[in-house]
Amino acid sequence: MSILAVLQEVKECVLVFSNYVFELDENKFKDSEECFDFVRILLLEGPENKKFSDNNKRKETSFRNYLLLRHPEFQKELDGDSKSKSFFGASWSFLETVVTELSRWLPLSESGVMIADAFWLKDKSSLLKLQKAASHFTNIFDPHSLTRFNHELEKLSVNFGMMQSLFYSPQDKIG
Amino acid sequence: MSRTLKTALKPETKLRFEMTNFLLQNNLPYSLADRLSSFVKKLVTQHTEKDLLEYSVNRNHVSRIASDFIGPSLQKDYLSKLEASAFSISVDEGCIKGNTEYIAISATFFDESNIDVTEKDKLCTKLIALIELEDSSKGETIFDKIKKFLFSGPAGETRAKNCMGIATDHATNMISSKGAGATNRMQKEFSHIIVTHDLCHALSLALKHSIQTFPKEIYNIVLQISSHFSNSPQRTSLLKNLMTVASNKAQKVNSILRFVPTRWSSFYNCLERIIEMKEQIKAYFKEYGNLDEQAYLEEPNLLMLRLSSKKD
Repeated sequence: MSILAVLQEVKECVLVFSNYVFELDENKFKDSEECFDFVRILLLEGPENKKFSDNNKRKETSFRNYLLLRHPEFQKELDGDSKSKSFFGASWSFLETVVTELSRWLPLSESGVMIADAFWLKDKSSLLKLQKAASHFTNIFDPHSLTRFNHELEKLSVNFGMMQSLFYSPQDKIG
Repeated sequence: MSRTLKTALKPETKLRFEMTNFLLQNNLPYSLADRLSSFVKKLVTQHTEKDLLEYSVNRNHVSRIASDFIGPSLQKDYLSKLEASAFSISVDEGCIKGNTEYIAISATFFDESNIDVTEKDKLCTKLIALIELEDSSKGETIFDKIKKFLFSGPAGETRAKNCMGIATDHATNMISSKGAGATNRMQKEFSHIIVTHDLCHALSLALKHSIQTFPKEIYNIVLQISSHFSNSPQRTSLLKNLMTVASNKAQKVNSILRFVPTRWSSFYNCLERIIEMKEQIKAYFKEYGNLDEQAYLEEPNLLMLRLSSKKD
């Protein structure tokens, strides 16, 4: 399995669990990549970010509705059952912990791993990521070849951007 | 095999029977049959009858040939490939026979010498070293061992230049916030190397910590039902008898899967099986269990178990 495929799996894993915990309006995001970038911000540590993260968390009703939307088979089980409160409570506690632990242990902020998806050339930040990677790998690029590489990358972005303009809106394309 | 059948068999069929018997007696995989046939043919064509009759090999020979000849030769081959290709390594510490600490180094590289495969399949991962740690497993020691093995000698500089990254677990002797881990030291000396936490270890740790918040009563019920049956062939047999009677012998009779806490995926599999067999387990405990055991699969426990497993 290539690192790109592994990375996609990891991102999907984070998104699946995050959707239970956070209000993620999928219409707000261009694609799951953009949604993941937003989730990554929500999962950053620090008191400032905690407030932002808390503000985006699902409220009790929203969580219940989402859980039942994803698992309609629970609806029948829980209708009028006195145990439903503790079921939703336990579910919330478990899922919230999963999201916290995923963000704690997965290398979501390690540029070495996250740089891999820049090779998809999905948006403008991909170019910056590739340029940054090239300047990091001094074992491959000496100053002269780094300049040449960046120049080639610029050319690629223009050509690739022209191709992309056939499919994407102007603000999304790479060049 | 009867005497009549023995004499009637053709030599080719007899050989097939002998080969099959050899595979079965030695618990060898059936898939080995093809390669074993080719190997026997190769032996017969490349060696004289006298050599074959005089030759002998025992486990000590095999162990010595593997460790003194084939192992080093493979290692030399892999190391030379790391001189020709960019590569990354993953390093993990382990223990053999409970008392000897080792570090295992695997490398992922492009095997350009393999011309029979597509570009994509040239990417391969090989275990390239198992290095004994002797008396210390500090970050500094691990760093020294890796450096000596990979980045010293005439080709060491080339390999250091080709090394792109290192993945390790979260052990502090590997990656430390204070900079004393083996990989921190590696990065200090070879600034281009990217260090990252291994994703499998990371996922395992995330789930290990998350399961702590899973409702204890459900966890314990699964653990107790699993232990009840896994430690006793008699109980399993009683359960199977009940199931055979209930299913009129027409259905496949399953057994309770073993739940091993250190294998976190076994919890889900065991829970699924319990839900699948809930009626039989209830009947079993009604017949043979105490009051606590009879309550395992009664409401409200059953509802929580069913909701946790999503299976009914």
